Amino acid sequence: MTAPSLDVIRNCFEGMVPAVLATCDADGVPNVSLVSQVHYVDCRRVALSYQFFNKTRRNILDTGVAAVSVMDPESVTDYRLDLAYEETRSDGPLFEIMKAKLAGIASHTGMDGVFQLRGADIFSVVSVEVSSGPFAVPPGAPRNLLSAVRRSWGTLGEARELGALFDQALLCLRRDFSIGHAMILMCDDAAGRLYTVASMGYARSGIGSEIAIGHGVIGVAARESVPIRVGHMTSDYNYGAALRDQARDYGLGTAEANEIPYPGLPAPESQIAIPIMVAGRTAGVLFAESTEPMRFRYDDEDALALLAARLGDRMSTGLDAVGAGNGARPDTGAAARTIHVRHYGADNSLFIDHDYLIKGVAGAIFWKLVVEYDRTGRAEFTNRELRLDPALRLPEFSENLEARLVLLQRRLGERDCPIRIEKAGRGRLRLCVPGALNLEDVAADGAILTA
Amino acid sequence: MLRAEHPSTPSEELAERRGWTGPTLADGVLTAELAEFCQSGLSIVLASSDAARRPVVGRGLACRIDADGRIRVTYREAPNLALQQALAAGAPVAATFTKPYSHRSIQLKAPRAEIVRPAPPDGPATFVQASAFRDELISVGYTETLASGYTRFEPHELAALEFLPESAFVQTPGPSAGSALTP
Repeated sequence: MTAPSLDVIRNCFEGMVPAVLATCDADGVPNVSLVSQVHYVDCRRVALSYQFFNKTRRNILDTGVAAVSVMDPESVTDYRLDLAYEETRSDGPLFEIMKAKLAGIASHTGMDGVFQLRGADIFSVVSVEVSSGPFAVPPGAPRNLLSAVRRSWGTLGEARELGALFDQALLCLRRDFSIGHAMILMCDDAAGRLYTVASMGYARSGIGSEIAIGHGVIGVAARESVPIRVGHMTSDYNYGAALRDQARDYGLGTAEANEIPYPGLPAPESQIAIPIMVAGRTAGVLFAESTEPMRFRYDDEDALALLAARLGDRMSTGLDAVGAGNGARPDTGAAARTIHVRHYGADNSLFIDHDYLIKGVAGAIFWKLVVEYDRTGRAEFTNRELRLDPALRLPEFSENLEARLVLLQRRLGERDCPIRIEKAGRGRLRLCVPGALNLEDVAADGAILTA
Repeated sequence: MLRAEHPSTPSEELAERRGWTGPTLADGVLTAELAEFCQSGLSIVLASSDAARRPVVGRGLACRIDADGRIRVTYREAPNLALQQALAAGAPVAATFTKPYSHRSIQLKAPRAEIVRPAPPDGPATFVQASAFRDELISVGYTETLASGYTRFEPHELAALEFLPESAFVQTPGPSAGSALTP
């Protein structure tokens, strides 16, 4: 019988059943232990979690060989693998992937705080052999992921604006992958944060909510530019729970006035965060979660990575942010009133009629538009002039402006703001203001300047 | 999922061994309590080394320990032929016994093991221990399919190995894991 390729036995490497690891010393004295994680690296390599310096570890370093028995939990097939040690990595993408997964396994098995990853020991797989089983017929796959990717691929090719592209990506997750809760976040490298531009399945959209790069599965995926996947939720990676705990510690019942709450599920079990790469760098993260344990497996990760790659490719084509007619014209009844806009220079936060709208770069863009409109009556702007405006300090990558315009347009819509932004032709946008503006600028030092 | 509220730790195991005043077996390598633990229906995993001194892995089903502390492990022969061959050639043996509920884990080692014919009590003992292990796997959250498949055997598949342990080690995860269990 031909030895199975590692990528068809990846169920064995999800950490659902402990593996058996055998080593021996230079004299051939064996050592055998259970290990919580054998990680699939690629078709010819696996990685073991190095957690404690013990006999196993010494033997591996001395002899460079190991044997493992791994079990497919669904078909109950036992595979025996002979391994040759290559190297240990104690940081970087593979380490972070394994660390996140191990934290989930620890949490699931009541070993929080005991399992700590010190390194990822990489081995080449010398041989794979079925030693027993299968004993059971694995449950049929709930969906055909290859077909799902193909359908999504086509749909994402149809989007003509960035906002629509985000929405269609989430629609594809629901329609083709049966994923109920997902978000798309974009990186703000200068601020070291990600901000939500689209979401699906939450009571509140959370558009504009932020996550620090390096925090939770989303932040680690962005920092390391690798997919991060957890099958059993752990406090180490549950960003929503961490935020709630912090708020409670600080005696905060509700978020600050200029914080948009992170939407997230209150008690997720599975989470996956896939970097969205544009021209070789991480522009954002596609994130999905579920209350079902082990919802996202290796195959789901591959499929969603293709979806994220498609998203990144489409983003790099320079789509306009805003669609024609997306900024529905406010009704004429609102026309007579004065709209009060307050801008805080310290963080570019903006309040419209005392309601918080947005802050940061998106806040600065909006402030520029309304000031210009108020001063000159000009309502149409080109993306180019915004991109080149030194006051906005936009990073060089084009999607940074477009993604902020999507964010801004969505926040205006969600807050039911009388001011809207809509497309006014290729690379142009129009500010729709149904009344008079009353602008108030609070400088960083607190001085109030009325425009 | 049912789990021990406070999982076992290596330091507890070591302290218990140091404080043990009861009977021991195998020249003090096993306490009577450890012998009982090993026969309670656990995960039993095995290793030896081949002629090239490369490790060989195996999985056991049940364990019987006689009055002298001789360990007899039953296993399914076909999936463990490489291990059986290594032991028959005189290579040393290691066996680790683990309880999923508490993560308590003990490794026993001997410089040699003997492949023996299964004795009449081996079948019933294997059945009792494998059933207990199956129930425990289900109680800690594994599916019935996995638990049943993992512990399944046909009487004609059974083989047995025997060894007198010369050393015991705590393998429970945590600091000091791997330390020798000595008085």
